This record gives sequence, structure tokens and C-alpha cells, in this order.
Amino acid sequence: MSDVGGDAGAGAIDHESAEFRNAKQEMDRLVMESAREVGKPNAMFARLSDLFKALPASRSVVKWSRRNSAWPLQFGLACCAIEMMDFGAARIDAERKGYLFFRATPRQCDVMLVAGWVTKNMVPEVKRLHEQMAEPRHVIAFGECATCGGPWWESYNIVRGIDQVLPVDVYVAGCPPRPENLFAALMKLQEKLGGVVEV
Amino acid sequence: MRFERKVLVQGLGELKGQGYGYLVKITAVDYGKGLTALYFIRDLAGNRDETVEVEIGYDDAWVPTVMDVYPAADWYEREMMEMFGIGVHGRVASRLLLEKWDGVDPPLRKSFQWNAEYRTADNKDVAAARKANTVGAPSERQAGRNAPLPAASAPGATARGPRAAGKKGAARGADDKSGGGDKR
Amino acid sequence: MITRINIGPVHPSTHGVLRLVVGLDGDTVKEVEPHIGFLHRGVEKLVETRMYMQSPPYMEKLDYIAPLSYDEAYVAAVEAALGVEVGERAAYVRLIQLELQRIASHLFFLGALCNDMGQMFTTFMWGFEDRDRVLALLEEATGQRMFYVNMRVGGVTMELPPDFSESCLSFLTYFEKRIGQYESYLEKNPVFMERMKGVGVLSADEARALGVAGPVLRASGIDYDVRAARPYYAYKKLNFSSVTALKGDNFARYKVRMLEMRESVRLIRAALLSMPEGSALGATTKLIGPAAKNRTVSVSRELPRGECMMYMVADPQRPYRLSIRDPSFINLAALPYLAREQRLADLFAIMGSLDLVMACVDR
Repeated sequence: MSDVGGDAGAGAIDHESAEFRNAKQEMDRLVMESAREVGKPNAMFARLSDLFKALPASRSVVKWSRRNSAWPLQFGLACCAIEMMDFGAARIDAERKGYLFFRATPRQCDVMLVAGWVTKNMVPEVKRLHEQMAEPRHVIAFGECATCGGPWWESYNIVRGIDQVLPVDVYVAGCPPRPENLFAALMKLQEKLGGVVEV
Repeated sequence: MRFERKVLVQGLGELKGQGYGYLVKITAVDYGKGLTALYFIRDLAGNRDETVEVEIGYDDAWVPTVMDVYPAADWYEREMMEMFGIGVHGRVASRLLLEKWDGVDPPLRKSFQWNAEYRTADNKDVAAARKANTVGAPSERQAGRNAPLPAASAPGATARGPRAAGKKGAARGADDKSGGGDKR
Repeated sequence: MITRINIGPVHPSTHGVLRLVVGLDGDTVKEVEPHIGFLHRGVEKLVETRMYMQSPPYMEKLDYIAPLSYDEAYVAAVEAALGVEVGERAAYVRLIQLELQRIASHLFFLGALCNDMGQMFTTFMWGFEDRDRVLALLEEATGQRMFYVNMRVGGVTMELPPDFSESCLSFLTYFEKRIGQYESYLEKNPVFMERMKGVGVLSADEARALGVAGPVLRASGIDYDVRAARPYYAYKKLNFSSVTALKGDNFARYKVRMLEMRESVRLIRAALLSMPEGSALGATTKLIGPAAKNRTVSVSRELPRGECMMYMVADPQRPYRLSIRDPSFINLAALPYLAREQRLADLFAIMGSLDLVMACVDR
């Protein structure tokens, strides 16, 4: 990349060259090169960024921050939503582990807590919300219905387990799981996000 | 009380005049030989209940709308239309309550084929396992209870009407009519 | 000129999965079209394939905020089909548990209402703290926090533990003061009062015509409470009196529920003090039990959200057809009428005051 940059920096165009015969090709090439010049980070910044990535601690810093601030998407569909709310309420406080801001917008969230049964009508919405979450994103299947269809196993309108639709990271058993169970699931997710979990 | 379909609206209007001003529910029952639409109405002040039954056949399944008499009938009629396939004449065509319901088979009729299609379509391995008789849905695990009971505890067969010819129906056809020991 | 916006199935309101297509003219709501069915799982069909006592878990998940009430309503229908009477002490135990469940449900209503009005989480947290205490009491009594499946034919699963009476009475003493605190703190708040008074008015004739149920009906001036009109268990003996309001606005619906909580406290206290001795246990659950005697039964119960009527066509061992008339379905059907010509923000306040549960709506 650096040698191409050097050539464009020369300024003179050889009218006799084979490249000039196809003007459009030449134009594209020039545009691409200029785009590369613009997008290239500041050299000092690039050096700092490389140094930071080379440090063994940096990966753990990133992991630490992701682990301790896994913001959930409030996707409480049914009964497990009540236990999810209890999980966020004052007794088992989710926020002290970084599980803040139960938002209904997926754009700022890291974890999707699927709480409740998912019907066939709801599948496109579930998928859309999951796709709207920015990576890295995770899914916790909360409760029996999200894990395997639960008591509605034989219903005609139910998806038997959210893992038929989404990739699931943690399954929580129970109908509904106690809020303490969800807390343990959160800690398991934190382990999965990386590193040892400080209790 | 039983009304004919053609006097339904008029009859309900008369009952409303007698004080039954509150509609509790509109639903239907599939009795096997036909459908029966049920209208539950109540007199709040006098605390009396009345149930109006209208019998309709499978092929001719429609009732007139009673929304003029009871505005609460709107959503109940929509639910009845969708769950039983009973058309309601005289009302504005409305969306299905269950959006994107792809089947045209009304779920709450006894002829609804839900075992055969809806379960195996989602879980092909469950179907295979069921064939191999290894693992299955909870009702499968109770296969041992399908042995015929002693006569004393299975009093009287009830007419069930056409039931779904599910995957297990063929194997237990004899037990289907008895009072116990059958799952589907 | 109507602008339609979509308040999608997933939204921060806690009532569940409901899509509202709202037609707006500026800030005024012109029409509301609720789209439901996102939680439909065919409970009425599933129940037809199960024996009688296999179904209570299905019934409980219909109203997941007050599951015991549905459990009890269904088991009462089964008892009516089998021709079984509930024992004396069991009736009292059921009443205590039902009224505790009603308190828990109304606390959730309060939290959800204040959430919907934008007060993120203060009342919600307080309401949940008190609800946790009630759930702890119910856990002592039944063994589970939610989805108790505590009702058996003729009684309950477990006797009340020996110290239940004391812990319950001490909770009630604490809770009475607490209701006063909720009321004073909310009713002194000018924002709360302005968003509740005069908003979403439902007159008595409209309420009767729309067929709404429960506190929504009683807040519009129609005095109909199943516990008073068709008393069951010990409601008559304990002199239950229903709570009615006149105005029919949001504030009336809220106030009816607060006063119902007070009435529940009174009932539980009276029931604990006057409970007869004996055994509260019902028949142990055998899947195959005695055959049903009555072909069609109809049982009405007063759930925290309204009146639930279970109409059951009873086969000997399982329901041939169970038709559940739940209150949230018809209360939601009244939303388009209530929300007309209101501000968009008031739409959620009205929905909060109707106290809906989508799983109930979408059976």
C-alpha cells in the first residue's frame, strides 16, 4: 500500500502509459487511492493503537469492560418477564453487576434476554431485534419456554426453543427461574465473555 | 335457551330489553355433529345469567353479527371466526387476530390436524425418535398408561366426534372412546 | 390527516407483547388498533388433550401476575364438574391465598402504571419490594414463588405452616401503613393527578355496552363484583363489600384497586383470625380420578383483573371444551374507545390503568 501511495504522490501522469488509455480505470484507481489516504489513521495514533494491542493487558481490559457492562435488551414476552423484572428490582439488584438499563431498544444492548415463549408470529420480530443489536451480542434463553418450548411443547403456534431461531449462549432452567437463577446465568455469561468473574 | 339462527339478533334484542344488558362471552363448542355458538349474557342489576345456544352445521357455519345489540361482541366474534371458522355476517371484514396465521384450518374444531403436521414439521428428529420409540414428548412417555383400564373406572363412552388422526391415534383406536388412559 | 405510527410488539411498557397501530392527528389519538396474537398458544385446545389435573399449570400461565386466581378458577370448574365441595378450612385457606395474590397483583399494577407514565422505576421498585414480601408469604404457604399449582380438588396441596399466621399478620400491619404511603405520595404529585384525573373517562353505559370487567367496570359506577354478587368461599361470612367509584377515569380505576387492596388486607386478617380447624387438604392428584358428573359447568371468579368465567363441557376424565372468558381480552377491546381524542402520552396511562396481561388476551 505504501508504494502505491508514493506513486500517487508524484503528481505527474504519464500520458503514454497503458493505464491512461482507459480513463475510467485510471479515475477509479485515483479515487481509491485517495480514499485509502483519507482512511489511513494518523501515524502516531496507529502506533499507539498497535502498542496497546500488543500489551497483554489490553485484551483483558476489553474483556473486563464487556463483562462488567452487559446491557440487556428487555425482551420480556411473558411470565418470565416478571421474574426478569424482579431480577432488576431492589432485592436481587441486577444493576450492581453492570446489567443496567433494561432498554427496549436493541441498538445499545449487548445481551438479549429472551424471557417467555416465542410464537410463530413473533419470530420475525425476534430475529429483527437480534440483528439490530451490535456485535458482540449474546442471547440468554430465560426459562423453559425459551429453552425448549416449555409447557407449550405441543402447541401449534409455538417455536420449540429460541435456539431454533437465534444462537443462544446461556440457558436458564426453571418455570419461571427464580431471580437468583438468572443472576447465576448472568455470571455464567460473564465468564463466557471472558475471564474470571469477581463476585 | 336455544335460538334459531334467523331469530338470533331479534331474540338477543328482546333479552336485552328484559335487562340482560351485559355480554359476557361469545364462544362455540364443536360437538362432533355440528358447531354450537354460545352467547353468554348477564343482567348485572338483577344478577341473572342466560346462555343462548345456536346450532349450526359444519358446512353452513355462519351466524349473524350481534354487534348492534351488544357492542362488546366485536372481538368475541372475531375470535370465534378465527378459532372455529364460523363466519359472522353483517360486519366489516376485519383482520385476523392471530396475524400471519398460515393455516386455514380453525384450531378449535375437533378436526384440526395439529398433531400430525405441527409437531413433526418443526422437529423432524422428534418424529424419527418417535418412530424408533426412544424419546418423545411427555405424552409419549406416558405410553404405559395407555393400557385399557378395568371397566369399573371407565364409565361410559362419550361421543367425541372426529378427532385428529394423529400419529398415535391408529395404534390406540380402541382406547379412544374410553374415559381414561388416553392422551390424544 | 392521520399519521399512523406503530407501537411495536416490543416496547418498554410492561404489559407484554402488543402491537398498537395508532392513528394520530398531531398529538391527538384518532384511532387505535390493537394487534394481538403474539402470545397465542392455544391453551383452550391444549387443555382438551389433558386430564383434569394436568391443566392447572396451563391455567396459571394465562395471567402470570396473579396465577393463583386462574388456578383456583379452573379447579373450581373441575370441582363443579365432579360435584365436589370444598372443605371449610380449605375455603378459608383458598381465600387467604387468593387475597394475597390480589394484593401482589395490584402492587404490580401500581408499578407498571407508574412505569408507563414515565416515572421510571421508583414506584415500580417499591411495589416490587412489597410484592416480594407477599410472594415470600405465598412461598411459605405453597412452596413456590410464582406458579404455585396449589389447588387440588376439594382443597389445597399443603396446610398452612404453623407460623404463617404470625408472619402474615405482621405483614398486614406493615402493609396497611404502606398503602397509605403509596396513596399519599402519589396523590400529592401534581403530574400524577393531572394525568389520571379526567383522562380516559368511561361512563357507566359505555362500560356496560363494551362489556368490560373488573375494576374497570366498577370504576365506572357499576357495582358488580363476583365476590359480592355470587359469593364463594367465605366472602359472605366475612362481609365482603365491593369497591365502586363513579367518575370512570384513570384515577377512579387506580383508586378502586387501592381500596381493593385495603379490603383484601381486612379480609385476610379476618380470615386468619376466624379460620376453622380441620384439614385443608384436597384430594391427592391422580390423573384418573372419579368421573365428572355434570356435563356443562360455568364458574365465575373475580380475578384481580376482572371476572373470569370458565365454561367447561366436561368429559369424564378431561375437558371436552374449556372456554375461558378472561377480563383482559375485553378490557383491551375497550382501549380504542377510551383512547379517542386523548394525547398520545395518555394512551399509555390509560393502558396502564386498564391493567392488561397479554398472555390472558391471547390465550
